[in-house]
Amino acid sequence: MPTPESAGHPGALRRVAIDPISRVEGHGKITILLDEANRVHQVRLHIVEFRGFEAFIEGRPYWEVPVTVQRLCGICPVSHQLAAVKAMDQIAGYGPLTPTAEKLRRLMHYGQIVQSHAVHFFHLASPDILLGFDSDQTRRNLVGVVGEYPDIARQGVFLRKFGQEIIQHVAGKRVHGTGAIPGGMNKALTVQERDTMRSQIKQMKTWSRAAIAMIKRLHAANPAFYAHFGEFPSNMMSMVAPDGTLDLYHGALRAVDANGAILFDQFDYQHYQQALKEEIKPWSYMKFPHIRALGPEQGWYKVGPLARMQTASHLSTPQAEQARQDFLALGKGRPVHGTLLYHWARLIELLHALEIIHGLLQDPDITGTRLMAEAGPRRYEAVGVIEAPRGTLFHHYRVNEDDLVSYCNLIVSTTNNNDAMNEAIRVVASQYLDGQVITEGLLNHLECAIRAFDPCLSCATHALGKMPLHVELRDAQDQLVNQRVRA
Amino acid sequence: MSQPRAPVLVLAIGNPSRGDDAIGPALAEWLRTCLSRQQPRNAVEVVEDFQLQLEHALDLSGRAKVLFIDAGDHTEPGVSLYPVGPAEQPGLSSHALEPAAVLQVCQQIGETLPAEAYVLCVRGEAFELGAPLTASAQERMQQACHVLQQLLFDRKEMAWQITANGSSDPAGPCPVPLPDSRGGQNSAGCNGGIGDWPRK
Repeated sequence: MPTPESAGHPGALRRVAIDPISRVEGHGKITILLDEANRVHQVRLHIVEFRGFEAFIEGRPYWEVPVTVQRLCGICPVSHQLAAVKAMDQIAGYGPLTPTAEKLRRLMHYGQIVQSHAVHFFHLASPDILLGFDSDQTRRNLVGVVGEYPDIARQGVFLRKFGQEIIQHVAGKRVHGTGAIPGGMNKALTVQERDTMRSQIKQMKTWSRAAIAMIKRLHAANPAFYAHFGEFPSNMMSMVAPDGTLDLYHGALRAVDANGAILFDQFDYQHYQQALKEEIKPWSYMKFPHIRALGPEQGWYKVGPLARMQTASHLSTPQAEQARQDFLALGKGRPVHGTLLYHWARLIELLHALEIIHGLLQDPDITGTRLMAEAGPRRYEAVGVIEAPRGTLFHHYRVNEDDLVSYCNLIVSTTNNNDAMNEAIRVVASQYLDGQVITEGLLNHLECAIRAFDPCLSCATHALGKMPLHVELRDAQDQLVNQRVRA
Repeated sequence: MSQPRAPVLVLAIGNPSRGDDAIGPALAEWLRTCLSRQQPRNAVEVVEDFQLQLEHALDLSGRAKVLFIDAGDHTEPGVSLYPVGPAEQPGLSSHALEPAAVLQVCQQIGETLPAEAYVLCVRGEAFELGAPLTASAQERMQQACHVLQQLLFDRKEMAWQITANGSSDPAGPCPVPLPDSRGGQNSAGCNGGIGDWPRK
């Protein structure tokens, strides 16, 4: 029997809370309601911090926004900058970007994909994947991986550094860069900077191919587990180019159903509110978007690497496309929906991003100096969308006559995956927790399901002293019975 | 040929737009201003970032001293300076590492650990997006500036140990003004200041 989102009689049940989730960006909490026999009655992923992104942005001058939004998230500032600047290109009235400006933005974006995917796989997810979910907690982390797979950990650090260096070269600074501005870019790439990146790209591609080979070996060792852990059918959505090729920087929206049939295609994201609707639920600060035509029960979807591998018709780079074909063969002609397959898909995207970067670094336009588009008439409303590392990211702005932002709506990637993450933990709870004694290893199964989506739950501060893991067991009267804290 | 690394690295961490999380970036800006007036100028390198990350392990490699500056949440009152070494137990998060975890990564991937590493933790009170620095955080930053003065500019080697052991009790206004927390031209002559605060 599937585990429901809402229990019929929650007051008579026992509550287990995981608060916050370790090795997940930000602050989230999983609550599980159990009866006396440890049967699971309700599972929810809560977002426990109000983020207030829109209030932070409204009232600011539009030209300031691409810089300001970087402060929403310390993990993916480039994604926010590029989504915002794509909207502000239109607000400011600029026409098509110059070839150099668009290629520099793509270089920066794919650099962000590399650094984000590298840190997620090599240092966030690989401890679980490589060492097993039930391994001792203290081994299920960096030291565990480094100790048993030292080369992988080192490669992860250098891949992450390579991605960061690309961002630094293009944006001009390591953090708080102003590379992308409405209408183009404000800094050209020098030949020396290009050559520095060129000198490393082949090594990075070699490492990423090795990572794909490793995850294929792991999958082959226990195919049923990797294919079916947290498996649930769902719709999927991403941005694609006009010919259906995956394009992480620009394109139109395509959604497919759980069987791969197209729900909509080449949908202009300027009108995303006609296709998508955001629902509010009283128990979470994060909204629940869904495909408007299908309604909230049937219309929710996955975004991010696993979705993108299956919404796109193909990848534009040969090695990653071959890796994608190998991956899709798992489904024997049908889409694959196992939650852990996000990791494999993420590594294919890592290779794809590195191949794209390699191509951009060979392109003479990349060191061009014509950086700004021609200005045209101003607009007062625009939407910018980008495929961020974690999935589709929407930035929607209205700007008044005084050039100040009067309306802002962001749908971040993790919000797009909100229903999917909740479904993943409900499935895992049914698969592994129902009727069992709750142990740390079993609880970690839930965290692994969440981590596969690589969520950015609050983009919060990371001051010293934050981020303990607090697990509470409460009785039917909501009284604390027991608790565990990971310091 | 690449430039030799500065023997001392200061890694200042925080998001300038999240209340007292701005303590690290503000102190980094203050330090850069002070260092621009010092000779030699390449003795101390200041790196600022939103949060500690894996690649910072490579920044640490081979330094004589590393000083992490970060805001603290529910940490010791005021300003605390303490030595830090590689963690025995790894951190829980690799999206945002603790200083000890970054040192551990540095060690485990075969890089040369810094000879000494310290944390300067300035307790903060509020960390919401768009919030300004609290008054108490600004007071503590004055105190932190005095600690940094002793450590980095007076160059008294014993200060690291003395201050780290809690014997130092600096007081009074900072010799170089702190950046303007409202984001304008500050009295130290820097553009931009530390803040980008919302208009209320």
